[in-house]
Amino acid sequence: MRPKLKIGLFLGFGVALALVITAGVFSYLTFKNQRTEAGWVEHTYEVITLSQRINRLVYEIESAGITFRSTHDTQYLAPYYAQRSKPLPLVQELKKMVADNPAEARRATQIENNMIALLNFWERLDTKLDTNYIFSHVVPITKEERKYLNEVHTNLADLITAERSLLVMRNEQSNRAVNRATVMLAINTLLILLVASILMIISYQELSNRIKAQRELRYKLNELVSLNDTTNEKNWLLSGIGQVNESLHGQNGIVQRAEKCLQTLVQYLGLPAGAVYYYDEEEKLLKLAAGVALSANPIKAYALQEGLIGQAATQKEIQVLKDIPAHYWQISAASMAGRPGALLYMPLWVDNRLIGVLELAFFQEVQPKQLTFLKGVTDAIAIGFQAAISRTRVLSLLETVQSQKEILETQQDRLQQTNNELRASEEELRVHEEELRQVNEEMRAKNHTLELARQELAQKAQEVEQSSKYKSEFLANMSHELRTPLNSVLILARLLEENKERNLSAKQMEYAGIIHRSGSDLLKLINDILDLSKIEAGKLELNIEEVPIAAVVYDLEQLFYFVAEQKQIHFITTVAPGVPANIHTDKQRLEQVIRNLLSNAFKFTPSGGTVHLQCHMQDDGLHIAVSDTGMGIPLDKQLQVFEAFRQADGSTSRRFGGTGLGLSISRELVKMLGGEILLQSKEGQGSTFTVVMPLAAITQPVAAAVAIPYGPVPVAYQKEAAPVADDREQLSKGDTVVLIIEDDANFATILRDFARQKGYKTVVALNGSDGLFFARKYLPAAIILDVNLPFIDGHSILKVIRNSPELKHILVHIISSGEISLQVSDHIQGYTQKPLQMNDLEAVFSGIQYHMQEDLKKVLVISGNTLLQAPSLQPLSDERQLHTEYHHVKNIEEASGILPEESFDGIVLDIGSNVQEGIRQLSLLRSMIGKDKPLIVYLDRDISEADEMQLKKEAAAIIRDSTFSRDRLLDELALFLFRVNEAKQAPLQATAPAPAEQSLEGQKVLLADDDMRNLFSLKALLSGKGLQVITATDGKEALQQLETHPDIRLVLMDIMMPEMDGYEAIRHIRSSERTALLPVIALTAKAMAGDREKCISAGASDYIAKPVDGNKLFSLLRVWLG
Amino acid sequence: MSNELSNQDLSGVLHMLKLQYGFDFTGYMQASVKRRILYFMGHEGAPAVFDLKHRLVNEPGFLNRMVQFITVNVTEMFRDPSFFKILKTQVLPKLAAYPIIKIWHAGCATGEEALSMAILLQEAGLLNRTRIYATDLNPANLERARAGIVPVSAMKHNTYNYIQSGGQADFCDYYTAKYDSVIFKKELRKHITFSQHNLVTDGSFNEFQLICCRNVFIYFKRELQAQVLRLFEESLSPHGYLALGTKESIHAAEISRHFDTVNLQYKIYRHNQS
Repeated sequence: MRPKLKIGLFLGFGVALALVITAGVFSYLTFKNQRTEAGWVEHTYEVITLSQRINRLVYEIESAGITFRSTHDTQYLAPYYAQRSKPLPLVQELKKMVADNPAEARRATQIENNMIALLNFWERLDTKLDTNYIFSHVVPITKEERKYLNEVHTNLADLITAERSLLVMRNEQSNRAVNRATVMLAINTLLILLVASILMIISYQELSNRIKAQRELRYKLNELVSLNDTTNEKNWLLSGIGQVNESLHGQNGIVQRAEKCLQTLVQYLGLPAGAVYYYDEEEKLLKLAAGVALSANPIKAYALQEGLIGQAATQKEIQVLKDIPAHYWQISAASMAGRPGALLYMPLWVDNRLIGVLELAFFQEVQPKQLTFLKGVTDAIAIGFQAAISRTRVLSLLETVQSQKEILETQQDRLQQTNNELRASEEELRVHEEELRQVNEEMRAKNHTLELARQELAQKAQEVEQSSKYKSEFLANMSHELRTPLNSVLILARLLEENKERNLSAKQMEYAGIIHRSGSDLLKLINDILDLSKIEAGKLELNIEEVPIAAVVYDLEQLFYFVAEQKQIHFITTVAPGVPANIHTDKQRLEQVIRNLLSNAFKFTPSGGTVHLQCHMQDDGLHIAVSDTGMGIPLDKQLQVFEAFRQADGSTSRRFGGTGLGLSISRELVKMLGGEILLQSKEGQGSTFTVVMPLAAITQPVAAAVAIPYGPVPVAYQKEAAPVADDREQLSKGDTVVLIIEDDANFATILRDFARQKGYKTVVALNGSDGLFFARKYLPAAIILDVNLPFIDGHSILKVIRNSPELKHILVHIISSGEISLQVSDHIQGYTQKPLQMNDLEAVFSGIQYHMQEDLKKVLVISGNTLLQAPSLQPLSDERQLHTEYHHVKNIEEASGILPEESFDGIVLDIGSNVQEGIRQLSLLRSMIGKDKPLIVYLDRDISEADEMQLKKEAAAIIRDSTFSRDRLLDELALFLFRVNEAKQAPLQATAPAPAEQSLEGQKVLLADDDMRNLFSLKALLSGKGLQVITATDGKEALQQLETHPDIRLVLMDIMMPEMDGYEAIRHIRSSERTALLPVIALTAKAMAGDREKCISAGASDYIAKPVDGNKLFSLLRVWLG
Repeated sequence: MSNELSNQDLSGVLHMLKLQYGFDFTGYMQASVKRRILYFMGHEGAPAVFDLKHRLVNEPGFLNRMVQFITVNVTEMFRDPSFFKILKTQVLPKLAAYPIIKIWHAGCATGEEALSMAILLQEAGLLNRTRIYATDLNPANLERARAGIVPVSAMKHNTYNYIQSGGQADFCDYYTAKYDSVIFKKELRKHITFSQHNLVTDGSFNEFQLICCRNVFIYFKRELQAQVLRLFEESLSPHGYLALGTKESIHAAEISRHFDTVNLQYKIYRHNQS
């Protein structure tokens, strides 16, 4: 508003000023114009005046002339002479005056010319002509003069006219200018008036505004003053609240906090006294927490509603009490005792929970300000107190928890103990179980044996059956083959017997007959065998039909009628009623069986006996019984008769003929027909063979061979899994690439993600061939390989990788569900069995990581033989990522050539089988390379413990050639090359100074111990004191050493030794006369009470426990060597 | 069998065993020892602690029987056949690279396991350069172990175990049967040194490539277990193997970080020198 107004005012005044200036300028210009115009008018008047003067002069001259001519008096010429020079300068002046106007100037020039002409005319008249002439010629002269005069006059008149018109014009112009100026000035004045009035209005308005503003300002000022007052009060409140809050801070309990708070309140409000009671929720009491200027024995606790405090606690508002009873609260001071003018009770509540009550005493009345302040801090105090109470409670709870925790821990410990005990008792249980199991086991074993026997039996039975089947088949075939040649034998024998040529003797014919008969018998036998085998082999075919029984019986009756007649045997056939007319069976076979039975019956029935063929029905079918009254079959032979080639008696067949196969065949046939043959017999009373034929339809057993379908086994084609996205497109130099060969796309993805997480770039192959291809293409730093893979399996891939020079250094970690063989595990850096846990994955990659970093060491390998052969160390070492370079030399000479020049971190010495030479070389090498470098000995023969000891003196490790010896070699190299810095075993030392070593110097001592560590440390210790030490690694060797070194003065004998233990060795020593008194100190790792006695009773002079304390040992030595 | 044996009585007996006879069972799990002693008292017909102590002092052989009883022994040949299979495939080939192999069977009881190990080594062609130290606390056990005699009744199971463990030879070639026991061949036994050693009190006595201590310290309290494991570590060569029973573990012990796990199920560990 204001700047706008200012601009307005400036603008208004500016405009007014401009208008005034314009008016001034304009007036000035108008006046100046007017003056110029006036000048011009004057000028015009001057020109006119001049012209008229010229005119008059001319007229005067003319009139002088005329007068002269009329009078002829020359006197009248005087004006002429006086005037004649005057016109021309006037004309010239005129000319000068009108020079600015060209038209006038021309006219002036013309006037001048005409004037000059006129003047010349007059001159001529004057001079050339005499007066006479003039008189004479008055008329022409006057005429001529007139002519010239006219011209001048005309010209002058013109000029005057022109000047007059010019004047008129200029006057008009001047008038117009004056008019215009007037109008302009009028307008200007009007405008000025307008601007002035506007300015006046604005100024007025502004002024009135100013006055109004001023009034408002004064009003505001008043407000401000009152506000300031309020703020001061607020400040007082706030700083009070601040102080109260301050007092509520800090980690302290309710009492301290209440005290601090109360102090603050009392001080701030300037109160004489006060008290704080907090509410104990558990005891439902208000307890005194703090007080200021309380009486000597303030009441420590109030119940709710008890006293003023208790009453106040039931309220929620602050209460003020005036007119306090005199006895109620006395404030004591040194100088006086007074009572307060008012008491204020402030109950403290948080979330409807009583926290406590604050009591404040006032001398004066409670000011509203103080009340407001107190109201303002109520909540803060309440919350502060609650926090303190809670804190106190939390602390006490914490203590409880801690103590409970301790209890818990002890309980847990106890539990752990119990758990362990449980485990132990489990083992004990095993013992009991074992005892039970033993019994059980025996039972089971017996059962098992039985079962085995049964199974064996069953198997045997099966085998027997099988073999009998084979046998039958064989027999069937063989019989057939036999019959063919037999036929010709029979035929030829018959031919010979007939003796058609008549050239054979009777004897020969008889022989031929015998051949024929024997052949026939043989043929019959073969036929029977064939039958039997056919039956047994199941090759016999049955021809099942309806067989009329009567017809069968009749046929047989007919058949045997003559035999019965011949042998004078009664042959009776009966068919019982109820026997069906027909039976469903193979007639031929049934007849064969019955015929066989009948022929047997007739065979074994003596003359006068009876053979009975009877058919009758029983429950189980048709019984066809053949009874005889022969000698019968003894009970124990009854089963045998059905077996092939077995009859009641071995002699029977010889007596009665026949092949002995008949019954077997019969039985088999009946079996095939679905029936059976029963035998009833009593020795001496005859036998009855009964064929039982079931009437039910006979089912021919069909041996259905189990068809084993041969054919291509369906191959489950592996579905090509969707490729797993990997980093193969984003590989750049310096990337560590891990190739994942895994057919399970899901797992491959997991591996990929994990590898990426570990900062590797990944290439994923879902089958073996891709895997191999990628391995060659991307040359990864590591391969994670599955074993079961489509197309090419993991083992093959591994083989290829390890056999390719460019791939063999690649780290391979196998992750497979199966186990891997040692051969495989030696070619890989890691193996993890599926399924994997998270930490397994972690281990896989940390393993890879580990193998990738380590630095190059140099090892000299001295080997003329074994270690040069494949597999050479370098690739094996590279596989393990040992970062070691191997330099091979053939022998120790080469080595000594190279050693001074080159430094190696370790030396492997292959000593082959020459241990003594090896020991020599070893010490040579040691002298060349210094103490610290590890020397590893490689050998390919068994060595004794003594040799081992010799070697161990210098060698860090001794490696025996074996399948995994290179493995161990690398283990040891890794140990010594990469961890050499680790704590070296401090050699055993005697720390105390030995005062009298004289007695020990040069003494020969035998040290027998199988523990190399001990042997070395003790030997070093003893040698250090100048003792001469002979060593042995077992009891036997110790005894030998004693034999070879009779000057041994003392024996240190380990107890636990192979071959011969210390006790036995000591006993041997004692039993020998020479050494019976030799001091023997037993060394033992044992510390049991009885061990010492045992050693002593075995004959030891003394005893020292392992690990041996050097000082103690020397004390002992001094005692026993002294 | 009396069911009462106060803790005081128990510690009295244990102290007596420890101080007078050197058998320290104080590190064993109390409940276990207590049960065994009670069982023993029942077995021997000693109704009260007094009887027990009396007989301990006066009856020769009683101590040995008692020790025998307390040191629970279940052992069989090729116990946990798979364990031996793993030894054969994963451990022995590595041991072959040592010129002289030393193996310690701590707590060998009646020596079945040491014998099994000898057979395993024989079949691996390593027995000739191996020295097996089989130690036990109990002299009676060692006596039996030295004899190499195993009751014939156990042989079926042993044979079964042997086959399960992947044994390929005829098991019967290793022993001769006589009456109701079998005696194992001397060729096997001569590579085993049986010796008394108390894991609780005695120290390291040699450096081994393999230590087997199966189902022995399961009865020990945790501190004692740790102590024994330290003893084993002291007695192992840098890359040596430690085999424990399937129910035991080195995980709780301090030394576990010095060992790599070769087989978790059968608790075969390898010392890694770190």
